[in-house]
Amino acid sequence: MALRVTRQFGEALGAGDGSLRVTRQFGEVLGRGEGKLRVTRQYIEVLALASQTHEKSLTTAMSITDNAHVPERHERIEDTLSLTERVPATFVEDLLDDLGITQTTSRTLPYSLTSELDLDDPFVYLHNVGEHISIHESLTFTQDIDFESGLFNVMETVMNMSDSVNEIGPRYKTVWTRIHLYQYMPSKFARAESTINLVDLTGRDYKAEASSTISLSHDMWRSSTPTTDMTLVQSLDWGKTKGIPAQYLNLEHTIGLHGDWARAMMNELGIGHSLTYYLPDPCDTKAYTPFIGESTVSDSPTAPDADLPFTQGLLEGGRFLLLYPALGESTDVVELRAPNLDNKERQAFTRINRETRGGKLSVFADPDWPKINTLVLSFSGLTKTEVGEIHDFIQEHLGEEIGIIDWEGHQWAGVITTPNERAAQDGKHGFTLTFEFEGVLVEEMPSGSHMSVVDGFTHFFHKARSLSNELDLSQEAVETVESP
Amino acid sequence: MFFLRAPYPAIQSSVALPSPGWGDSVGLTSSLQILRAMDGTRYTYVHEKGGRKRLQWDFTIARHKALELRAFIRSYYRSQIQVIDHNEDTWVGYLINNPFEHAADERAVDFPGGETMTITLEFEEAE
Repeated sequence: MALRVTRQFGEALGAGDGSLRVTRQFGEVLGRGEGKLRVTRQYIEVLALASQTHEKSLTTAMSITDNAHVPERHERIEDTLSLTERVPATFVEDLLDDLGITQTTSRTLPYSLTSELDLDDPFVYLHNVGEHISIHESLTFTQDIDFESGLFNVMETVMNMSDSVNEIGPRYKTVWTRIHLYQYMPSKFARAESTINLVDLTGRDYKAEASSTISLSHDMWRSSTPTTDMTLVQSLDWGKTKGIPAQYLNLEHTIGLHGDWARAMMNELGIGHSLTYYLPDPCDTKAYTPFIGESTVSDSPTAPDADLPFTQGLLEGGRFLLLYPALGESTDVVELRAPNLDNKERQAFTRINRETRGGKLSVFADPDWPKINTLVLSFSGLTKTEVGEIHDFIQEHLGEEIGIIDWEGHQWAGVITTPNERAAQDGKHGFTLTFEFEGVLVEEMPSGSHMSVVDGFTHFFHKARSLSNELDLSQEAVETVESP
Repeated sequence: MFFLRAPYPAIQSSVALPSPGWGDSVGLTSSLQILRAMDGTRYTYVHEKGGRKRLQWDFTIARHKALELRAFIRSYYRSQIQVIDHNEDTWVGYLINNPFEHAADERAVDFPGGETMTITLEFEEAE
């Protein structure tokens, strides 16, 4: 009987001794054939495997051995580290890594200590067994707070290190990222911050090196905030190793002293010296012979002028003049004879005299307070016409500042303070008139009020192939005081 | 000889004047007030002022010397001055004239400036 239509079903669902296999078999013969033809459907399932030397997946939880040598072929290696933080901090028992992370809180003070450690070593492909792969990451975080005074302090260290190797081939490649952060704060501080961002990118897997070295050092012993921002970018987009010139960027920033806080203390003791002298001479009580020594006392008054202040006498043919205006070109002039003898000059100063309770006399006067000079002038032998001219002049410029050229050639500027003085006729053709004049000598007036000196400076510079400089200097002095 | 020297005590300037004319004077500055009660009792209120003295001198000087004195007064009208008078007495105080009056009195052909001037200086001790 050549035709066999058979259906078999057999299961062995439990483990047995050494020879038993957990197997599911199913066989069907769906049609007849000739000779050796068999139409057969077979399905075999193996529901369980015993031990195998090759494992599809291997998961190791909480293993920080960083043991990357590959004695066996694994498609996936996963390390999971879980840290449980308590107060005081403890680690779970299964942790076999000595990470050196210690968190300690001693009291109920508002402490906040945080350490975050993320190590990510993705190892994607490994083509050849036995190739040496070495990945090192070394992190050392140290946060020490020796004393907490209750102030709110924050110490934070954030480091993100990312080393990515896309392909492991026969070519040698090295990627290094080394960061050393060191912050030392021996005493009170306001803020110390170091931020470093290093980005090394190489586009292709040619042998290339991109190295950036940054060293930031802040030494602060005062409560100051120096800031250093550095951004170094080296980009190698394309090209082979040879023929690409090396680019070196060296930045050296040296600041030895940010500020000079030297405290200069000076006490002015007011020590000075003065010297006066006297040379006996028969004329020293008659002539203008002031004996002016020297003085280094800071608040000493200005000494009198050592020279005779004025040139004596009128110019030839000159006469006593009343002028209007006081300065500048005169528009109204009255000529008179010289005044009589017994003319007076009064010097009046603004002073404050006080006596202390003990009887000491103190006199104070600010040098800027008014100093009033008054001339008392009396003219005799005036004609009626001259008296009329004087009266007209006084009436026309009553209260206005007028000028006087006196009998010695001095120029005064001021006002006549007695406009209502009467002219007395003391002779058949002669009159006598007296008035008082309050003013100052023109030489004693502040400089610049009657003379202006202008210096002009013009500099022309023409840009041309033939360079030339033109320097024009002009000085112009304009004197607005003119003696009539 | 008569000297005015200023500023005191750091003296820098000296002016030599001839001796003043007759009539110079010196006196106390103290004051006295007498009040009498209804029963005839006499009450006196005094202001001693430390025994300070007030002096006055009249000078007749040449025109140029008057200008020198004018400049001296203008420089030291607010400063203590030292006076060594014609009796060799030394005084320290202030010139208290206000105003200072310079009067041209006479012709003096042989004098510097051709005139003589008169001025009165009033002086009061500081302490």
